[in-house]
Amino acid sequence: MREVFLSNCEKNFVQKTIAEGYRLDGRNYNECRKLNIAFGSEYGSCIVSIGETKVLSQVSCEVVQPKQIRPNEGLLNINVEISPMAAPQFEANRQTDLTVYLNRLLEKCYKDSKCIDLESLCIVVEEKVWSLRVDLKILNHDGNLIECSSIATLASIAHFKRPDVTRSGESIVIHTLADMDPIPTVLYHYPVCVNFAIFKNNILISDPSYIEETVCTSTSEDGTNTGGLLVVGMNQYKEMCLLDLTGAAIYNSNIVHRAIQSAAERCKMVVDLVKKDIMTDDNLRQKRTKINFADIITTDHAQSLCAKDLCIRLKNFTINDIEMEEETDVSKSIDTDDNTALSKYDVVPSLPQTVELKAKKGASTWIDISSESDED
Amino acid sequence: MATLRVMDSFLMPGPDLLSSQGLRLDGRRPNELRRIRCKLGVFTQPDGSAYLEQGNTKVLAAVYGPHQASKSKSSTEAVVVNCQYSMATFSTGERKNRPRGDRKSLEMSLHLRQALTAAIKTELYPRSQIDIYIEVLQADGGAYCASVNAATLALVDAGVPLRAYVCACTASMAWHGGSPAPLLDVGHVEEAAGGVVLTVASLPSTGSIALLEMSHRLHSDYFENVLSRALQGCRDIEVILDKAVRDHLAEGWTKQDVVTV
Repeated sequence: MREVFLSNCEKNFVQKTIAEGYRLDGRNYNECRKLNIAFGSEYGSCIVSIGETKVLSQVSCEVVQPKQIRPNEGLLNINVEISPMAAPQFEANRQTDLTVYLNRLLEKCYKDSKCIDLESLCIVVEEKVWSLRVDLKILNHDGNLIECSSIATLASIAHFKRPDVTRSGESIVIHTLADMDPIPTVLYHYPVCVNFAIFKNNILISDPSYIEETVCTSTSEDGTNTGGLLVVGMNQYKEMCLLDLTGAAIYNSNIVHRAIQSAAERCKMVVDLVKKDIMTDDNLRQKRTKINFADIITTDHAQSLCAKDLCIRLKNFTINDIEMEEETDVSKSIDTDDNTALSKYDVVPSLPQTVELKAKKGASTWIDISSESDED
Repeated sequence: MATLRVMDSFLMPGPDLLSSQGLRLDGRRPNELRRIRCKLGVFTQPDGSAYLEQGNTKVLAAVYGPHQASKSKSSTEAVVVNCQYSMATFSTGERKNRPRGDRKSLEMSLHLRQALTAAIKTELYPRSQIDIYIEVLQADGGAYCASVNAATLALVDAGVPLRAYVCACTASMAWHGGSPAPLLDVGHVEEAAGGVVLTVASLPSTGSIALLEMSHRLHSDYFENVLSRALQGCRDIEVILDKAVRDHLAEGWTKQDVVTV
């Protein structure tokens, strides 16, 4: 399926609203959507979601022969796949520009910056080393894929534990997870990529959504391209690991400096969150609680990964206003209780003087099927 | 463990990129560019072509266009710029088995397209396509920069209207006795030694930046230094390219342009 074209009126509307200081979903220029990291039952698998953008990541390892030029280092391979599940314009197994872009950015951020201690993955020099492979699958594309993928890579690598290896003379024994405790990967530093959208007049927006990303990289009516995307990769020590500007030319480097400062704060926050979540997950595993992905699906609808609905945030509204309106509506007609029962949204007050539409929370539960049925 | 990590990043690249006299591994000063030699109009078939040498990096560029775009790629608003970056199998120290189509080359092609689209007046040719082919004959660091510079010359030779020259330059960071010294125009040996490489493609006459790319680690406090050094390098390269274009035009028509009846 071809990509749905962005209409001119949509483009103009978004550009005008952003120039006036508003974003479609009510966020400020430097506000990010909610970040959620959920780990799976295997070490090294996690789903990271920023708003509705979801990326699944899985780390696996195997023993291979090392490269000739680096005989005492392990190997790291990062692979991103975008399937039609993410958005209808992607075709299965076709390498598009976006795939190349994501793969190269993640390789530069995690391999070239040497954040993993590859020498600790060596078993026998020149013969056997561990090869780590990170496979990322984009589950839903709602903008800011690069940030979501980089957090997924980081979280899964930090979460991953490889089997322990012991040498006795000539023989090498690789222990199963039940035999000996697995060993976590050694990370020198934790880099994260942060994505910014640049609009006309030097407006810098963090965490752009899908429509903001498409608008800022499209050409405007006079044929010039005035916006772009800036990706800054940083670790918690304010060292930049990656810098990449796509889209139009920028007129002064001041915007890059602002982006770097904004990125420094965001990276620190994200790295702290990742470390905290990994510790919580460790504690839960030690208590032998069941960890699974089902808990992250929060609505009772089957289409939890397809969001055609716009998030609306109304400023200068308080919840009392809404309730009063609802009361008058109910008194007017009795037929409205059908509508309220089927609605999957709640109107809740979030920030002061602001009201938001929030999806109702209903975590899915495991269905237990007993094996005592007589019919088998 | 935390203090050890901080020390690690502060002591930065192991081998000294700057000697005690302030000379680099190939004998240049920190703010010296490598020698640039170029020639326009080296091929007859393409509309425009150029050959550029930056130190030991040698690059060929050929431009076709604007011509009719293939249906799938045509755009009604602007010209489609199609770039192909290819490295010859003999261009690097180890034989390169796949000259084009691997991820690094595809990424280079995307970056080339981005830098050149910023310079070409794309709104003048809707529903058309401009093809730019780059062949790297010898890669000694800065192959992307040499490609952008060669492509600019080839576009000028083809007569494609440009907003400004696009020049690209790399810059790195070294320490000279404790104080930071940014290096201009990084060669292969300095890249391989693990230093950070910032690549900037800019339009020096308008002062805008078309492409910014950085790999390895650099502390954000030093970024400003390295960026301004790279932009200065771009301005110097523009002077060189401009002189080369004017010399090429001043020597009159080349032999291929004369048609004997």
